Amino acid sequence: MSHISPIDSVGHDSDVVFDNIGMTFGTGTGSTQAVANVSGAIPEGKFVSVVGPSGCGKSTLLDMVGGLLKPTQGTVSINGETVTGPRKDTAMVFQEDSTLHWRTVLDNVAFGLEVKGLPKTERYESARRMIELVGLSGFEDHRPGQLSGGMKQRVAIARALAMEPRVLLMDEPFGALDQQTRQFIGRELLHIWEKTRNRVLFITHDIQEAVYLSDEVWVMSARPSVVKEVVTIDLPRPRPEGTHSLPRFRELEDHLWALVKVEAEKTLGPGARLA
Amino acid sequence: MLVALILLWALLSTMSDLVASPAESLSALMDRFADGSIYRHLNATMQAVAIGFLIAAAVGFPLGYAIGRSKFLGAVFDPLVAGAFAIPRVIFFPILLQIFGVGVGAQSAMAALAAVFPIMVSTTAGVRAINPLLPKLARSLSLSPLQTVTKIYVPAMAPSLMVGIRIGFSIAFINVIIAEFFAARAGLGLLALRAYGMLDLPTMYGIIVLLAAIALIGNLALWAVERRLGNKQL
Ligand SMILES: Nc1ncnc2c1ncn2[C@@H]1O[C@H](COP(=O)(O)OP(=O)(O)O)[C@@H](O)[C@H]1O
Ligand SMILES: [Mg+2]
Repeated sequence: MSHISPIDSVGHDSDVVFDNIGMTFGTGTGSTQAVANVSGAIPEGKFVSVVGPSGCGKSTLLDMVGGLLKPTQGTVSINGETVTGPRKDTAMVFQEDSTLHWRTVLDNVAFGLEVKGLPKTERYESARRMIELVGLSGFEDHRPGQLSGGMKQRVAIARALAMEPRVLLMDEPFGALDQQTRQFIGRELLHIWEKTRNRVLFITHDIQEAVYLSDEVWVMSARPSVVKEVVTIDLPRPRPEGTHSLPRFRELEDHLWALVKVEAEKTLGPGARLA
Repeated sequence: MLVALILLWALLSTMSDLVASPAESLSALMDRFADGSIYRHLNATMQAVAIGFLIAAAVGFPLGYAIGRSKFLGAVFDPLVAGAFAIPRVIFFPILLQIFGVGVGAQSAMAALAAVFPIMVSTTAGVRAINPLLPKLARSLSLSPLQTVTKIYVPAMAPSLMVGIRIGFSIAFINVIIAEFFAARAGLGLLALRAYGMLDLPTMYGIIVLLAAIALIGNLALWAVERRLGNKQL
């Protein structure tokens, strides 16, 4: 049901490839080794989730792919090119609200394209499509202050999708939402992704969410972290509503729980909960 | 409120010889406009306010922004700025007179010196209040430094910038008038003081009304802009 060490999956040029990447913050005695060594690849059209104890370096990993942090060891490459900074073919969604509160929903979603220099008609056309995709039709002229937390996250997701990224990087995008909203938006994200099929690197501390959405779940160890195990989620797609109650779903969930629990206990002591 | 004030003023003027009535004051003021003698003073005052405010803005906004964004500058300037607030800026006016001589230059410098602080402080507070994800977003979308300022920082900080402009304008105005009371070649403050010296009470009160009106209208206009911005931000 799972294979250890993602190293054997390092692959083609068109993949997103992690080659022995590590990240140490600071130098000398005050330094923190966040990520020890991660190798692996996100294959074309795959949805990969990363789970692991709080503070193990999940965000650090994502920021290295997004070009916001330069690994202190190894390289990330996308499409055969080493990532040296933010790229046009990656887009990020953050945990907290990152909408621009002085802009309308339409201008928020079009923001990335505007920065890219796309003419108004083109960027609005594509923004309107994304707004429809995330279910915000009718809210084009609203401002973020008039929207719920879940709707603001959808704006951020639409803004990222509008960039038509090769890799979509999401750092606990539903982490700040209530349970009901996050399940609902999770389902929507899945519908959307099944249409776009770009690569997704998705950070979450919700194991059920990871199983439901992903093709692969990477379990990270406690800091300094490595990918302890890659769990292939072999549930058929599309995944309808009842997926959560399939016996296979439960099995995968239990397996991941067991893995993560061991790591969480390393950080926080026995009986600790994840994240 | 305004009506009540005017009524109170009218009442007081009937009770005391030292208070000119609203009607007298207004007509004295009108005379000054009619014979054109006021324009030299009005120009001097408005020029000093405008120049002082512009200098304060040109220094205060960038400096406040830099202090807000840089940990190091914050550590250096925060205590300095806080300390400077304890010192009345107007005590430096004699030094400014030494440097610029009596004239619009000294009044402008006084206004700039006083207005730069509120502009700087509100800008710094505005930068610090920005959602920390926005700079991260700007980086991930590869915004140029200029785009980061114009598309993220300025609009995100618009309300604090407007507060800085409004308070800065008020402070510049106040300080020009105070400076004109001390030493000036022309200006509404000087005119009011001269009228006082010649016991021309209607003119003195007329100028005071004019000054109050300018301050009030200027502030209301800026406040209206501020509110419109606020509504947009909702
Ligand atoms: N800029 C930084 N400077 C120093 N240490 C950092 C920095 N960013 C993250 N860290 C440290 O690196 C570790 C991993 O952080 P992070 O990637 O945010 O974890 P996660 O997202 O898994 O909760 C933590 O111990 C954190 O304190
Ligand atoms: Mg994190």
